[in-house]
This record gives sequence, structure tokens and C-alpha cells, in this order.
Amino acid sequence: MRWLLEHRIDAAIRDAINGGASLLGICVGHQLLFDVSHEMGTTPGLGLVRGEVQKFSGRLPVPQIGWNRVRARGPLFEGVEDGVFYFVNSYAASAAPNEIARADYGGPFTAAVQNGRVFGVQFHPEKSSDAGLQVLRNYIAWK
Amino acid sequence: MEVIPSLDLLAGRVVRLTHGDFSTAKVYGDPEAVLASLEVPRGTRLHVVDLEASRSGRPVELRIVERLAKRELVVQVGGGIRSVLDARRWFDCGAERIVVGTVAADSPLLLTSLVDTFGPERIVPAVDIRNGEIRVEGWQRAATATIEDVFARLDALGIPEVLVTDISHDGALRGPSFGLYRELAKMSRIRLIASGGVSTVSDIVSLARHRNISGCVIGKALLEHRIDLGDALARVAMPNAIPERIIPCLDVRDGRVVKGVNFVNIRDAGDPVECAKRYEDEGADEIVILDISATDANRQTALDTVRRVADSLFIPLTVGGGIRTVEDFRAMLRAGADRVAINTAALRNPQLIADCAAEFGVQAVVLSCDAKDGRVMVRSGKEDASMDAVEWCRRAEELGVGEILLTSVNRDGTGSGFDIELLRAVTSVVKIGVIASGGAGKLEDFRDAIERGGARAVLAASLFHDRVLTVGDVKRYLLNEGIPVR
Repeated sequence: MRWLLEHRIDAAIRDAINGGASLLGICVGHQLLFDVSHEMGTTPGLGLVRGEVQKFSGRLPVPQIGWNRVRARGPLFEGVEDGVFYFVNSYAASAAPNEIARADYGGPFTAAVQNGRVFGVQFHPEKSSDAGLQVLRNYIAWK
Repeated sequence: MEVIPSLDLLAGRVVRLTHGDFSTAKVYGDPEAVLASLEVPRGTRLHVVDLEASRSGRPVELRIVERLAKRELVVQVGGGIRSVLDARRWFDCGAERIVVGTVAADSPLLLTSLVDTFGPERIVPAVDIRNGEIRVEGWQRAATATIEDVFARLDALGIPEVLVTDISHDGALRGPSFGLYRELAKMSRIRLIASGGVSTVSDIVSLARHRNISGCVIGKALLEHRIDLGDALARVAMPNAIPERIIPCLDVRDGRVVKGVNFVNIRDAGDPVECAKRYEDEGADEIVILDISATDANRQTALDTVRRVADSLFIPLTVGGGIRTVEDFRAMLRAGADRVAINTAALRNPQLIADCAAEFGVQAVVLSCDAKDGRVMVRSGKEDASMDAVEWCRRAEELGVGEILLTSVNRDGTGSGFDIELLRAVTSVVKIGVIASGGAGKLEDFRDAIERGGARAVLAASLFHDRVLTVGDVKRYLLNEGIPVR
């Protein structure tokens, strides 16, 4: 995030979105969309979706590495509302107001968000085989 | 499934006997202090055995059961209950259920009067099974009735739950008797409380995946702090939440997939990109590429192979072979690997693990451990590294690896099944996932590696290359056996 701020990319992203562009954040890119992250101290995010990113607090091994089932709704997940996706993460938002998909890893967490033209997915669609490719196709079709 | 801590009481204290011999009693202390140290939550069901009562035939530890029941614990108590009067004394102390042993198998009349007096849901018959027979009277004698007869009789009485101990497994660290529970599921609709052999959190998760198992009793593993009750409860709450993974492995040499037995007798098995794509289409959860010829001279060939496979693949790719430095590691990630396995170099320089974890994150670092007779082998299984395999895996977790790829050199390429003992030894001491490798020959091997071995992923090479089984075959089988897959 600091790097984005130093290079004023945060402003460029906001301008693009205000100008009508859409955005899909993946993994850390998804986490950057939120108001605040508690990874490496408390730092502000891009603030494009509401909520905070926090470390998994359950008793399962962290990072989560592997496939996990998602319960989703909305255009991004059309056809894969009950899909299994590949995750690699130690941090996540939970019960985010803009949540469109939820998964469970020792407790529920936000697997995807949407706020207008801004989407974020905590998993890696590019590593999630057919289900992931479907999400990418849906995103392109939505644009 | 309920996780049921077990407390054996003798002279007011929690003890463990070895082979039922009272002179061997190991004392753990006051029951309430023991429960506090184990962080047993309110509302937990406890399995309490009054050892003196089982010897003398008269209830002894009534006061303790009274105290436990008052602390909002659900107590089921057993020990030499031979009459309705004995049973009533336990219930009067606040016990929720009584556990009856020999009575269940050999005294139908008493069992019937217990059920008539107190209701079937308050009576937990306990059967001890060895080699397909119910054993009674301190396991000295086979019961007159067969297992089928006893279960049919219990079912007719309306008994909902039976405590089953496989005494050929009890106390040993071989794991629970999953096969026995499967047999009983075919025989009877009665739910089982599994007892004996539980020594890891994975064992508990595996039991919870059996539809006919409603509880599991844990004694020694909990008292000896080999199992953390909080971890077990967290995992068992959703035993099917996270799918287990099937991983085809491509052993690559000079840009071609090859196969061999025990790392020798190498044969060509095709193009890596074609193989990897086919496996993804079949439902593989990840691909592992191990470059078994990795030397400085052909490093570019290896990187090129990884690049070609990564470009056409939409599932995670793990790559290993010849990684000696942080720079080698970085080059593999840049070529498109998601994770990189380190083997020989990490043994020579364990700091390499910590350095790579610091640079790329622990999720990117996989320890590849080749074990032969419990010892670590290096240089593609050719050289003994003079290191205990279990100890090395434990240490690697501390240094910072996200997962361990554990290969049995003894079993590799033989098709004789995974080394369950080795898997259990490692999965019982590390929290991170273990990928079982070496020995896959039939469908049951995959199930056993996960269910008994505690592996979170299973890898196979020649079985898939030779199309003896497809990834889809394995997944359908596992699902049918109650193991979640994608």
C-alpha cells in the first residue's frame, strides 16, 4: 500500500474508477480495496469497499493454503455460486458490508466483495481451474 | 461428532493404567484440576471410569461424579455396574448416562431391566472387539453372542449409541479402527462412540467424517498433551469444510516426463505440458514437477519446462529439484511456479528455508523430505543425510515452510501403499499440511493416507501416467468413502 501511495497509484485508481472503469482485485489486491488493513501494523487501504482486513483468528494453521468452498451471489459468480476456489492467505475481511461471497476457515470470512464497479476476490481465480475461469469470464462479460 | 475426554479414576485421582494393571497407575491428579488444565468447555460430555468399582463391583467415586455434574459437565460413568441399584446410585449423583460393559454382551436380562428402568438413551453399552469377536470379563473371554446378534439386540431395545473399543488398537498409536467402524455401519444403524487408538487431531477429523460415529473418547493423547482439545474442537466442528487434494506428480528430466522405480530404471512418459493439462481436466487440484536431473548445466531447460507448464495451467504448480539458493527459488517463482520445494540444499543449509520464507512468504516454501527407514535421504534418494525424518520435518516447520511433501523412498514406485506409520509420525508433530507421496497402488491407499495417515493431500505419479487410475476415479472413490474433495 505504501508503494501505491508513494507512486500516487491510489489516486490514479480512484480517478479511473470515477471515470467509469471497473476493477477486479485479487488476493492482496482484494485486501487493498478495504478501508483499513491490520497486516504490518494498521494501515489505510484504498477505501473502495467498506471494512477491515484482519489476521485469521481461528485455530487452523495460517496461512490457509488450498481449496475452499464459497457461498456466493451476484453477477461475478453466475454459474459458480457454490464453487470451490484456491486460497493462499493469512489475512481476510469478515462480514464486510460489500460482501458477495463468504467462505469458512475456522470461522466465516469474506471471500469476495462488490461495490459498484469495484470487485475483489480473496481467492486466486487464475489458479482455481474451471470455477476461477468462470469468475474471470463473468467479470469480463459484466464490464 | 462429540469429542469426549475420558478420565479413569482411582482413589479420587485421574490415572492411567497400562494393560489394566493397577500397580502401573500413572497419576495425573485431581479431576477438576486436570479438566482445568485441558481447558474442557462447559457442556462437554465426559467419559468417567471408576476403576476401583470395575475391580470390586461397587461404586466408589460417587462424590467426584457429583462434583463434575454440578460443573455443567455431562457425565457418562462406567465401572462394574452389575445391578439396577448400582445404576441408580450413579444417576442419583448426577450422571447423565451409565456405561455397561460385560452386561451389554452377556446379560440380556439385566440390560433389558436397565433400559426399562432408566430409558434406552441413558444406557451406553460398551463392547470391546478383537479380531471380529466381542471380548468380555477383562478381555479374557469371547462373548457367547456374535457382534451381529449383540447389535441387533441393542437396536431392538432402542439403544441409540454404543461405545466401541477395538482392543487390538487400544493404547497403541496406530490410530482408530476405521475398518471396523465401516463394517459396523453396514451391519447396524446404531451410532458409535469410537474409543481406542486416537492420537492425533487428524484421527478425530477422520472419525467425524464417518456418518455412523457420534462421539470419540480420548484419554491418553489428551492427558499427555499430544492433542490440544481446542484445536480438535475447531477442526471437528466442520470436518468436511476443506477439500483434500489429489496431486499428480511429473518427474521431469531434460524437458520430458519420466518414471522410475525407487528413483532408478527411468522410462519416458511424455510431454510435461500435455500431461499437466490432462490432469487438470481430470480434476487434479495441483501439479508437482520434480526435476530429477536438475544441475547447473540444465537449469535453463528446467525453467523453460516450468514456464511452458505454468502458461497453460489454471491450478497451482509446485516445483522442486536442484533449488540451492534464494535466487534459484526466485527464478522458479518468476517462471510461474506458485510454490517451490527445497530438499538437499535445506539439509546442508537450513537457513535457506528461513531466508526463502522471509523473502517470498511461508506459503511459497515446501519442504520436500525423502525418507527411507525413517531417515532423511538426499540427492534424489541416493544418500543418507544422517537425520531423523520426523525431527527434520518438525524443524522445517519452525524454520518456515508452508507444507511438507513427504516421500517414502521405500514405497516409491512399488504400488504397495503409502507408508502410514511415517505419515502418522510426521502429522502428529506438525500443524502444517503434509502431502503423502510414494507407494500409491490402489484406491484404498489414497483413502488411508488421508484417513489414517493424516495427510492433507496425496501425490502419485506412475499410477496416473500409466492410466491405471484417473484423478477422477480417485476423487469419486474418496467422496464415496466420506472424504471431502473438490
